Amino acid sequence: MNASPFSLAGRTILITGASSGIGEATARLCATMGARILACGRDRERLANVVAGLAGADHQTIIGDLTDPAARQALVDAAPSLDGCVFSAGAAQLAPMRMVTQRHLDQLFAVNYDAPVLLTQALLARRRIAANASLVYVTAVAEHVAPHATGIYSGAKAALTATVRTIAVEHAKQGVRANCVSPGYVATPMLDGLQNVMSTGDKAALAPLGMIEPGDVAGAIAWLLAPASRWVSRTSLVIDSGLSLHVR
Amino acid sequence: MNDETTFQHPFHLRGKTVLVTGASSGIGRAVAVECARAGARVVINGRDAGRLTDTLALLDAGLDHAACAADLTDPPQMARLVAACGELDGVVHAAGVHGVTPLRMLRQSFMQTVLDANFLAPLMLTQQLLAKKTLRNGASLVFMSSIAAHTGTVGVGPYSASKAALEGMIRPLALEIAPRAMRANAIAPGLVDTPLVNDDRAWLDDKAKMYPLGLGKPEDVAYAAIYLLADISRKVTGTQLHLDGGIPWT
Repeated sequence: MNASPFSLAGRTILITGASSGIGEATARLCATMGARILACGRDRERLANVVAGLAGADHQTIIGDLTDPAARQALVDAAPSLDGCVFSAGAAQLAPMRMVTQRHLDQLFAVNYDAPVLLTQALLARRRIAANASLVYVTAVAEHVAPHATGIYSGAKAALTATVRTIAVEHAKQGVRANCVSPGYVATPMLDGLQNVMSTGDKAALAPLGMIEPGDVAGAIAWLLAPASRWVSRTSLVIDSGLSLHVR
Repeated sequence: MNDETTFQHPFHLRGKTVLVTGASSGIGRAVAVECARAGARVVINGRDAGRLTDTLALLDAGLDHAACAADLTDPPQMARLVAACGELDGVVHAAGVHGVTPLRMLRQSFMQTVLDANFLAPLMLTQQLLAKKTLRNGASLVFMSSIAAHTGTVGVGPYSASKAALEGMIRPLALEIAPRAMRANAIAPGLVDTPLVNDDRAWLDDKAKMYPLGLGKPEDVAYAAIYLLADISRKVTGTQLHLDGGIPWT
C-alpha cells in the first residue's frame, strides 16, 4: 500500500450538522486529512465561517433543515459522487415518560432518525454514494444506557443503529461500509442547550476519563472514513470516556 | 501516492514506545511493522527468537527498536520481558493460540493450555506492568479478542471462552487504570488471513464467503490498533472494536 491508509486525499465527504459541535470538528479534521467537504447545516453564517476556516480548497456548502423533504431533495440534487457521508445533525430534548407527547416523539424522530435514514435512501436511489464509500452515523451512548428522561431520544438513536446494520448488509456488495459512533457527554452547543434542565457538568464528571471534546469524536469518525478501516462495517464504536462501564 | 508532508492527521505514534506480543508472525508482526511506520519505538516479543529477528528487520529504521524472546506462559520468562522493556506508552497483546475441540472430547489440560496462552498471559503481563510501574500515564492497552467471543461455532468452545474471559476482564481494568488516564480496549477481529489459519486454503476460501467484505488482512487489525494506541482515542476505553468485514451476526 503506497498511499497512507490515514489519508482522505481525493475524497469528497458530506457532513450534516457541520456548522457546530461534532460536525464542525469532523469537517475541520477531514479537511486537514485532504478531503473535499460538502458541509450541510441550517445556519448560513455559521456554516460559512466553518467552511472559510477549512484547510484545502473546493469545499461546498448546502443550507437546509434536513427534516424538510425539499431540503433533502435540494441536497441530493447538488451532491456530487460521495466517498463518505457523516450524519451528525441531531437534537436532544428531555422528557420523563409520563410527560412524553406525540409532538416530542415526532420532533426527536424527525431529526435523529427520519432525516439521516431518508437522506441515505435518497442518496442511494440517486446513485450519489460511490463504490467503497464509508457512511458514518452519530448516535449516542444513551441508546445503551437510557438514563432518566431520555426514553425517546435513546429510542430514536437505537432505531438508527439498527437501521444502519441493514444499510451495511445491503450495500457491502458495492464495498460501501456503514458504521455508528456512539458518544457519551460531548462538550457541544447541543449539550449546553440542556443546561437548564439537567446538570450536564455533573454528569460528565462521572465519566472516568472526563468530558469528551468534539475533536475526540471527530477522530473516530475520520478513522471510520479512512481506508485504514476498510474491513470495518456494521459496527458501533463507543466513545464515552468510560461512562457506561459500570452498566455495560 | 500521498506525501506525508502534504496533509496531517492524528493517527501517529511519534514519541511513544509500544510493546507488541506475538510479533513473530501474523497479526502481531503486522502490528509491529505498522506501529513503527506510524512513528513508534517498538519492543517486540514472541517465543521464536529467529522469527522475532526477522520481524525486527522489517521495522522502519531510525528508532532503537528492541526484541525480547519469551514464552509468556512461563512466569520467569515473563518477568525477564517486563524487566527488559522499559517504560511503555502502549501494549498490544497479539500473542494467541488455537483452541478447537468438541466439548465431549475436551481434556482439562487442553483447556488450561488455551487459557494460559490466550487469557492468563495477557492478564498477568498487565498485572506485572502495572505492579512494576512500567506504564506511563496515558498508556493504552490493546487486547486481541475475537469474533469468537460473541459468536457460536461448533468445536470452538475453548477458544471462545478464553477470548470472552479477556473481554470480561477489560471493563474492571479500564475503571481501575482511568485515574492515570490509561485505557484498555479489545479488538474483536473476524477471520484474518494469517499463518494461524491459512494452512488449509480451501477451507479459508469457503469461510471467506461468509464475510460481506471478504477476509481481513493483518494490516487491517494493525490500523485499528494504531487508532486505539494514538492520543486521538484518549476517551475510548473498555470497549470492543468489532473488525469483521460487516459479517451480519455480531
